[in-house]
Amino acid sequence: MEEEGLPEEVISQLRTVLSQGEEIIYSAQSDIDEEGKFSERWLIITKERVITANPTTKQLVQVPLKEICSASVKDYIGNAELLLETEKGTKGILRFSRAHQEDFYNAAKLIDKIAKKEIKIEEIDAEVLNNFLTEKNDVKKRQTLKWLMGYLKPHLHYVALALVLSLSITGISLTPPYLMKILLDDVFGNKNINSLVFVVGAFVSVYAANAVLQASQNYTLAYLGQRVIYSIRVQVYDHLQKLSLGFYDKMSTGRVMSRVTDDVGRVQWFLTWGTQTLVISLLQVIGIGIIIFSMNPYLALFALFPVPIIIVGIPLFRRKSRRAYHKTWRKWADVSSLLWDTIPGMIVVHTFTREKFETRRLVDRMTSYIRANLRVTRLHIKFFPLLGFSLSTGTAIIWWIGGQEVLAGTVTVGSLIAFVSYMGMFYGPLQTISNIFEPLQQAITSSERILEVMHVEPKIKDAPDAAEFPFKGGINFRNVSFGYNPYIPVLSNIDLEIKPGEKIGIVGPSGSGKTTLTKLLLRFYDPTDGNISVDGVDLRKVKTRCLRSQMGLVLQEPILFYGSIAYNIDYGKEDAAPEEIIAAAKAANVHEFAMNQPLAYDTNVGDRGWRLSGGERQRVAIARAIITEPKILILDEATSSVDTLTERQIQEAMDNLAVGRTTLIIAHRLSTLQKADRIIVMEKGRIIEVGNHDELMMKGGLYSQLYKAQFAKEEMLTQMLGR
Amino acid sequence: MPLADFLSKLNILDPRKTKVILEERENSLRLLVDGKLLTGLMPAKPFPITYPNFTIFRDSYGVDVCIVKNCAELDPESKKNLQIILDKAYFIPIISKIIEIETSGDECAWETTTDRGPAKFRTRGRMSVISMGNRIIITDTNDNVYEIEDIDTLDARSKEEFEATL
Repeated sequence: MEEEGLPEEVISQLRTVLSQGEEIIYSAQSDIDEEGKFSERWLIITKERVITANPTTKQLVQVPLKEICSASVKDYIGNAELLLETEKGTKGILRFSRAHQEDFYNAAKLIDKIAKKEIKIEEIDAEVLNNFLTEKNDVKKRQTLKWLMGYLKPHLHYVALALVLSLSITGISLTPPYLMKILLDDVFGNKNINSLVFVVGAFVSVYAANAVLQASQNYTLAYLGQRVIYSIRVQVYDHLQKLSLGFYDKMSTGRVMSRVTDDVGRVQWFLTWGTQTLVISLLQVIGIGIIIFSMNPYLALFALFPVPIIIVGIPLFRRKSRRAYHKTWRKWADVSSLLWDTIPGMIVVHTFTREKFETRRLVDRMTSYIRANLRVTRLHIKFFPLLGFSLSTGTAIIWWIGGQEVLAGTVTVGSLIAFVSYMGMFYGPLQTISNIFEPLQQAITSSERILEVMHVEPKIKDAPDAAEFPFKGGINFRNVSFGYNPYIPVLSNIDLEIKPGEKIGIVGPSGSGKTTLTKLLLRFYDPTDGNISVDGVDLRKVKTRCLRSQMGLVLQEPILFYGSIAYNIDYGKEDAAPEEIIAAAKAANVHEFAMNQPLAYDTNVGDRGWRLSGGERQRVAIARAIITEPKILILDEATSSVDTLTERQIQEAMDNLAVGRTTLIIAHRLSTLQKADRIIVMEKGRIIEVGNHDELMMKGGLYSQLYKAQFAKEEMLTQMLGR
Repeated sequence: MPLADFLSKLNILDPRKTKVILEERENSLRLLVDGKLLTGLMPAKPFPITYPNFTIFRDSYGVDVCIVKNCAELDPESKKNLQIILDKAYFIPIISKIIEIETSGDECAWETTTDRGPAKFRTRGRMSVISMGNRIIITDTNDNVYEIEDIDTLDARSKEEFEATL
């Protein structure tokens, strides 16, 4: 019996029902009990039955596997239910919150396959079960600090230099008060002009050395910081390039970007200034502490009077101020989001004469922002004057007690002044230490966030025996099923064979799985079931680079990059000759408009190509696909967002591109598919009709309905325009 | 259609077998290629920055007739004739000295000396100054183009002015 991971109470419950040698093959914990309250409940699948056990109420339900016809999960809001269908009907046997959905979707899949005899019970082993295990994010968690220190390793000599410089600065900063003591007691007391020259000279030397050391330290730390930030950013970016599209589906662009920018910035601060400041401040506190206690232990005790206010008060203030600052930040975000919203949409504001309304909105938000800012100011004026007063009081106490000792002749004036100076220097680093812990904590959190990304393994990897070969363009989908969430199918049992050079149209309502089909072909994702092959070779056995370099993709919303038109065309072929760029541009109807730009093909298209119109961007994207001479071409709604004239130009470009290549065209405008060899009609993730235009029209199915509806609409528009 | 089909239609000429002749009124060109005369042509540079010698010859309707990939390989007389027409079409002053670059917001006001005389202009946004190694291409707010051929060959003050700002 496999009892690993099950709590003791559940194991003892199971012992009452399980027969000798009955093997547990799967278990999962739910967080909702029979009453619909948050509580622990378990699902256990053995080779004979499905059991639910509640260790608190001791309730146990069991259903023999042989009675189960199928298993599924029904999704509700905030929770879902595992359903088992037996001859007596469907029964919900366990509810769970969405936090546990993967475990139970896997369980349902396993039970379902056993019930439908797709998996034979006697053949179930660790390898089979492996397909049903939830992927836990227990990647080798290298210690965050160890990981960070790894970045300092190549620059250890700079770290050492920075430390030596810091220590020297600390040491040197301790000397002026001592020189002051000599000045007051020895030079002025003994009226010694020679000593005056020496002391003033020493002062100048100390300040000069301090300036040189500070400059060197600043440069060393800045250099170190830049090297470290460079290494981390390059490594993170390189890792991001390797991650599969599934990662970007789960994590928003903003979150990924903030890891590369903000988090890396915080880590840099931690590794350089943060640690150095902490070390120096600690050394200063210890050093000055030793000095003042050895100078006058009695006075030193009084000097400690404001210390509790610093140690306790500063973190307390920071906690309060953090909330206030956060509020200010949120209020500012409100203001800036309003600006981002309305300024690009000014045409709408003007059309609906909402100018005053928008100004009022800004005034409201600005008022909240000002209030939040004043709140921070009020917090500051409550705390810092109090801190300043207690520090000054500490100094006044020393003047009072020390002054009495000077008058009594037990302490020299120079010693008292030096003591007061050291005392001032003692509070500074204490304040720094109290202040530094929060940003240090933030930096460690940032490191963890970066590591979280670094630990994500690319899901699409080349198999060790993956091959590279030139494609002829034959494609075969064999019983392919897929879901972005593996348990919610987007494609089901797709069977499709495409011959080299064939032109296939794919139509169907939105969400029918058309684009997903092409994403699987490009191996952005792997099918959950079944397989896809090109020229008879499973995609998983083809090197990804080889696969994608022989496929061309033109999307509905083309993505261009910051750079020239030429750069965007030869993005598909790095070493393209200029005449190839022009040939591709001519094939894609780009040439004429490119030649009319201020710098022709060298004209920058701006971020994401904003300087070009939608149709121009689309044609550049087609040229980018043409230049790679793909064997398989995927055109995904490439003309749906442009006007009729532009559509014609794009259509012509696409026709040029498609000749002699296996082409998959996803299109809404069915008139563009009349030349297709075959048209595939999809609905709800399944292929429901296949045939050429005439055959499908004769059949009178979904395609003919869609076509007639579109034709009638166009006819009506033509008539209206004709009038 | 394979890319080769489109490539073959470009009509790429061998510069060593091509003569560029100035039309009488000096406002267009004639090309003598293998004894065949092509008349009324205007040169255009599809890549004025990245491949400045790559030239397309177009007829009076703006239709591409032929291409010379590297005009530097033409004979000196042809090069001279071509340059006369190109000089009008491509007025790209070469900056020899930067006197001052003043920044305000996203704009830079340049005061420079160029091979065509002193020039003052304004640039806006990061797209306006493009570095290609040591070569700098500057497009001002009116889409005029200037070039610094090699930033390292500018005098120290000009270089400092550039590097301190951009």
